[in-house]
Amino acid sequence: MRIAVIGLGFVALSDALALARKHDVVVTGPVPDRVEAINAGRFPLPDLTLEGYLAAHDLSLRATLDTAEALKGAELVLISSPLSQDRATGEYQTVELESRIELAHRSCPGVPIVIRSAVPMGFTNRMRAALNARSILVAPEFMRESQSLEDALDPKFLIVGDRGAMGARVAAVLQSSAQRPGVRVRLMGAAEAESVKHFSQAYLAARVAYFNELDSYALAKGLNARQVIDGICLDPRIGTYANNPCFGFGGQRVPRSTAHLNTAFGDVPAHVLPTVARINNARIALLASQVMARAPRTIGVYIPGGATGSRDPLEALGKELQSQGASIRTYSGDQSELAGFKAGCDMILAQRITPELADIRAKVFSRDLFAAG
Amino acid sequence: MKIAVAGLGYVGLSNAALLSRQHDVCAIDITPERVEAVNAGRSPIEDADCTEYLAGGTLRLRATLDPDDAYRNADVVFIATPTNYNSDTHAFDTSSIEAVIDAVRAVNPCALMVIKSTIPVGYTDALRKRLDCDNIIFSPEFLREGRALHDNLHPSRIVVGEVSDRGAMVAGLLRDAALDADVPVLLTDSTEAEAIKLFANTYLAMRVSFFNELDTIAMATSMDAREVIEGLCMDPRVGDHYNNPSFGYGGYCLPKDSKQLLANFASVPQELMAAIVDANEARKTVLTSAITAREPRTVGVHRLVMKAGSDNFRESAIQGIIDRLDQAGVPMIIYEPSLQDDSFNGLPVERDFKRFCDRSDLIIANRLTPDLDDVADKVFTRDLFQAN
Repeated sequence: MRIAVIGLGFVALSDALALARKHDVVVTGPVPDRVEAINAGRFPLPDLTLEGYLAAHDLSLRATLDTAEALKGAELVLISSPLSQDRATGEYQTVELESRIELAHRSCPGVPIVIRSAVPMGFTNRMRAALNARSILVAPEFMRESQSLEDALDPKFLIVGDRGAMGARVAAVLQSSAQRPGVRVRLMGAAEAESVKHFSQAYLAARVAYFNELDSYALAKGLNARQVIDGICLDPRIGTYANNPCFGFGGQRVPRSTAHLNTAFGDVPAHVLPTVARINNARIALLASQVMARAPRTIGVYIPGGATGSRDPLEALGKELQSQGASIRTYSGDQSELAGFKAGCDMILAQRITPELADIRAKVFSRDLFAAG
Repeated sequence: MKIAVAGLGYVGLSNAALLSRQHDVCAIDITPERVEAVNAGRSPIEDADCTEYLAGGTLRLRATLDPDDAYRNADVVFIATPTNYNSDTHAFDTSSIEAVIDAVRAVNPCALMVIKSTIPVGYTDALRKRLDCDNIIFSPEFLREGRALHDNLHPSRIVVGEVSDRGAMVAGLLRDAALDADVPVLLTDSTEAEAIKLFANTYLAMRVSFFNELDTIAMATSMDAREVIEGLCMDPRVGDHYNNPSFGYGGYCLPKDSKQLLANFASVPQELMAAIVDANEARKTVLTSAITAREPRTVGVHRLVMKAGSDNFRESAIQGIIDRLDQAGVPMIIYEPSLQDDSFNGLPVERDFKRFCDRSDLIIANRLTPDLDDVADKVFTRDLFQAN
């Protein structure tokens, strides 16, 4: 099958790489160096797994800047688009995604156009109505940010937001790229499929937030948080995964979904969901008081992957400490600065304890209770 | 070993039955009917395994009303008396535990006492200091009403709140009496063991609230909640269990444990713990509005128990809805086979199921049961999966 993938981010590229084992895939987007890299057999983003996969497999994959050309003859279109969100209102900016969908619909009438992005609830039905097109549907992806290709090749389940034959066709194509046969598929309404994505993010956020509040309690009361976590997670209904405390949940997607659920249903009486959206604040307040109580002279903020934006809870903690008068020094992954950073700080805040912190372990303030060693 | 068990509720009886498979156990309660029942080989509570094991006659179990008889020769005393949450003091009422401890020490100062009742975080440490007595250990129970002995015979884990030889001995008693091999055993400090109990139940309360809020949102936006939940729960990190919407979390443990934990947080900054408690009240208010919006003339309340197989209605969620409907002046009748009285909180009880259905133009049920099939069009429920 001829498949067009619109988008050049992790989701689009992981979809394209997985599908190109079985189908003719053209991936398109407005970023010349990424297009060039793919056509040269290189992966355009820093990720060794994806780079290795590209080299190891005989894929039918090419990239182009010309979206119209990519769409020519396509029998299926997948669209991923970065969605920005107004932080105050929680509303998504979908203008770019809408124009991509319109273009695909005009170029390929009747061909299934599959939205992979985490769009706001009700978006797909609005697009269907606006363009009078039943062929637009939503199939949210559930890839983890750091393991997108693994998850594209080995999806645990597939959700397609169309209860009819079109949905079944799309599901069959997505299933065809899975390495394991028999991936479970659930067809459902478009709004339902959109909301599964957001509720999934919100559930994991609630879980992270819960273990963080447990840890805050243990920290404040001098309890061994690891003992408590081990004890509760042996309940099979709770489970022994995603239970390691951190400074707060971060990344782009989780805060977006929780904020979206919060604003989209502002008039529906709910408590757990809105609270999860703002949960990092209480956690950071507690952690800041714990850090300040140790009276550090210079506090190091250890972000080996580099700063990701204002939603990173460690950055937020650093800012909070700064506003309380602490002296802050940040490490953003430049190896040449690491030794000076370690020597120049008497306390180092780290979300996770990495091997390169082993020699200054006593200086590290972390809530990583499951760190190796 | 000689073991005494104080309290013949779910926790006490199931532990007494469990341990008397291998040891001489004397159970004690203040209710003569319960003591008589146990001595006659009958289970005083609704619990399939308790009924079967007691009737089987192989247990080395007897019951008494006499503290001296129960405690004088005991090596270990398990304490499983009720600790109700007092909403005025924001704490569990632990007086029944302390009464047992006084009675044990009066006749047998060397006995090791193991608290199975749920208690506030920090209670055991404080009590040891206050009584100047080291022989008190906490070991949380993780059993479900109606399946109490089953969950003791097949425990998810055994937690004992003392890292010591005698802590290991207590864990060994519970583990050796279980039917499963390789049950995980955790010896922790006592305050940690207390926290495990409350945090585990509050997590489950959060999960129930999460799915109830999802359902509330689906109701408000005409989404198919069942599709959303089935899709969401295909994700193994969410899991396909404990996800059936309801009128709220209820039963003896979840409401009181989440409130106690919130009270224990006191000045520790938190947001989620309060939200978990508030969510349950908000859910009942939302559903009450949905019920009154249908302008029923008479609402029939189908069962007061929290779930099928339970024989009591302590803190059942439907009671919160009854209270709200009552305040709104909605006429109600109650159908509850396990109730002997003619009225419940001033509301008439209708014993005859057929008449109950005829008299009600709307029937509210936290959980659907087959008897409601014939009147399905009258039923208001949020039970999407016919599971607990």
